[in-house]
Amino acid sequence: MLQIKNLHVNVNGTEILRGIHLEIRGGEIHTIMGPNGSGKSTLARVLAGHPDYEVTEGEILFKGENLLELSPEKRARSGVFLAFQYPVEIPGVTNSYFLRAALNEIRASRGLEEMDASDFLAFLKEKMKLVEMDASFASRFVNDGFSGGEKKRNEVLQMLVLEPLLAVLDETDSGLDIDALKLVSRCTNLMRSKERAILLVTHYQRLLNYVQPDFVHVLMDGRIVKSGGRDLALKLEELGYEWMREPGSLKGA
Amino acid sequence: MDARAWEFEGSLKREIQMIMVQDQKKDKHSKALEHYESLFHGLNATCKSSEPSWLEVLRRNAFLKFSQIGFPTTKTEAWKYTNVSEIETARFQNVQRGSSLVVKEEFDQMFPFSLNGTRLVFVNGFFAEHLSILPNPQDGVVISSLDLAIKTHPEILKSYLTRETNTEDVFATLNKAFIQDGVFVYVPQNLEIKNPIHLIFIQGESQSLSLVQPRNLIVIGPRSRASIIETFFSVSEHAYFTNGVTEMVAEEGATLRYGRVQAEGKKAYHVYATNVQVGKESSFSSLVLDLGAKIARHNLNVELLDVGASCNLNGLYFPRSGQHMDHHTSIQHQKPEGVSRQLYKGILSGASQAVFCGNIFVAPGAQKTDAAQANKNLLLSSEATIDTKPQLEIFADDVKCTHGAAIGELDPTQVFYLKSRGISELKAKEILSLGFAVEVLNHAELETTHEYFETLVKNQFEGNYCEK
Repeated sequence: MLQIKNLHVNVNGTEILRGIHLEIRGGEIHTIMGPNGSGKSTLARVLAGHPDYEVTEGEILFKGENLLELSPEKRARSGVFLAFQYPVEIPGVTNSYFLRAALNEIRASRGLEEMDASDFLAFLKEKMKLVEMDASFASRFVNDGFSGGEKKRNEVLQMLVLEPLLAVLDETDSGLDIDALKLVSRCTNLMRSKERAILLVTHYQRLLNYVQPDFVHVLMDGRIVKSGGRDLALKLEELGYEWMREPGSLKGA
Repeated sequence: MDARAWEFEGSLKREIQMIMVQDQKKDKHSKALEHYESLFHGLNATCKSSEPSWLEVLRRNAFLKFSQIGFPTTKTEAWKYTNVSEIETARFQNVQRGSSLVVKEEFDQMFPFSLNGTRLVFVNGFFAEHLSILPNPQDGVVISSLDLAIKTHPEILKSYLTRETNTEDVFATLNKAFIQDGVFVYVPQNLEIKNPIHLIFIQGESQSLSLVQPRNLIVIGPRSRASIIETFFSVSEHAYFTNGVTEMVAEEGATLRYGRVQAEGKKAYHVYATNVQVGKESSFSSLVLDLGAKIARHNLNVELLDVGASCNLNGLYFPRSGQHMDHHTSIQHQKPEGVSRQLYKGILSGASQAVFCGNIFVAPGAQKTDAAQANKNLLLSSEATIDTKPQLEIFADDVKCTHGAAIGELDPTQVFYLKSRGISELKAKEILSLGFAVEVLNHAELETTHEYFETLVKNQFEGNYCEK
């Protein structure tokens, strides 16, 4: 579904990603771990088409299509979703209005009919139950005055509503208490299907206690230095990232 | 030719040019006055038999005053940012009563909005009874056309129309000279008019260069409540000029709400004064929406005449390329313990222009005045310009007056957030602009009014709206 080949990315003239190779197939869950500043969030944002990131080399294919040629909205319509590390507040725009506009644009691009306001509200409320959000959040302004945890849940809600093919969760687990973490994990597992791929970007192994990834990749200094299964995450938890910096370990398992 | 002679020649040329330009200007002004004089005489000829003599005198004096002052130029302080020379040089014409008939089906098509309650429709400035919905008569309440009210309630009309006011500018004076029709609403004491009274002024397609000068008078008696909505609406492609005045009085303990939609045709000129007098412990609130016309100016003058009077003014202007919108508000705190709130927001797209000038006057002795003013502008284009200016004149020492103005652009992180959810750039801008407008639109009292205002704002995004 997703193929990243030799991806180099600059931010403000500094190279952050320095040759990423990654392939994700439908049905798989991949995790990207790595120390602060290794480029994890950059990778997530580049996938969504963030305008501040400049791709200098390499390519990204999504369903065989060149993703880098698509605008952010076209990526979303073709099935890419990014749960933001720092969700954006939009005062004056209600959650339900925003989400219905998004869903209807995605539906229109697929030749589906618009969902009217009342049908959508019923649909939204079902999804809100899954993330244990009070119905009043539908009429609140997007992320405006939400707590950190509420913002993260709102990202998960958007994922459930928009039903993407590739969901990229950028540190959605950060700053959550254990109950919220379990909730986010449960919803992520709900999304798991043969047609869908999930990419989890995280600092911590603890999320992986609840969401079982098929692959774990370690990103350091803009490159994937090691890939493995779930046990790699456990080893990281125990030993930290430093041991991987040793010469010879770069090619990894 | 030596250098000095050449210089002399040059300066002489400049002098002659200057004299010529002055002559042309003088010519322009006197030609305009001549034109309005002929309009005035034309109107007099048709009104002679029907209008009472006090009205004729009132109009005559007003015209005299108008011809002494003349049209403002950008050298006039209050018109510094709005050039009305196009209005002055155009040869607008009076509209004959009954000259353009719009049947109900046409009207419904032209104006596909409906608010519950009373509706008075005016076509090209004249009352159209067949398009209006008048309420069942209620004790002492008068809701009628001004033309009719001059006959049925001459004493009240005379007393209000002939008052001397210090808020009248030259366009209002011009309007007074041409008083013919408009709305008269009178609500006696201790009454509540539940549904808003909607005054709809539409301009038909038929005539070019029409001059329409509606005059409305609204009087809300002690402790009564009412809500008035004015709509100026047209799909006409012609140039025409609406020069209107609405006078409102909220007597002691009264509550008056005022909604206003200016959605005139693309080539229209719209100059309008709303003058409000607010009595003891009474409150006035307004929601003004500015969408149409090529050049639009609204003067909202509120006099808080007595102790504890309050007002809450809200406005949204949304010009697109080629439009110029000017809002001048003036709040006069005459007595102690008055409260005024003001929130005006602008969304400017394309090569559009807007002006906001907010005057707050606190009279000597008007202690414990509490006034706050905010003007916020969202520029959707680098070609849009806004002039914003607070004007505070405070002659009391125990007062609280705050003001603030802001000019900004859309936040790119918000735009990206919406786009990352599949929303197009254009739609994202629309959603964010509407979000910006919500704070103002939420002042609509009823859901139906809110919907009406919101729909009109959304419509403004459609059609030839283009980002630049």
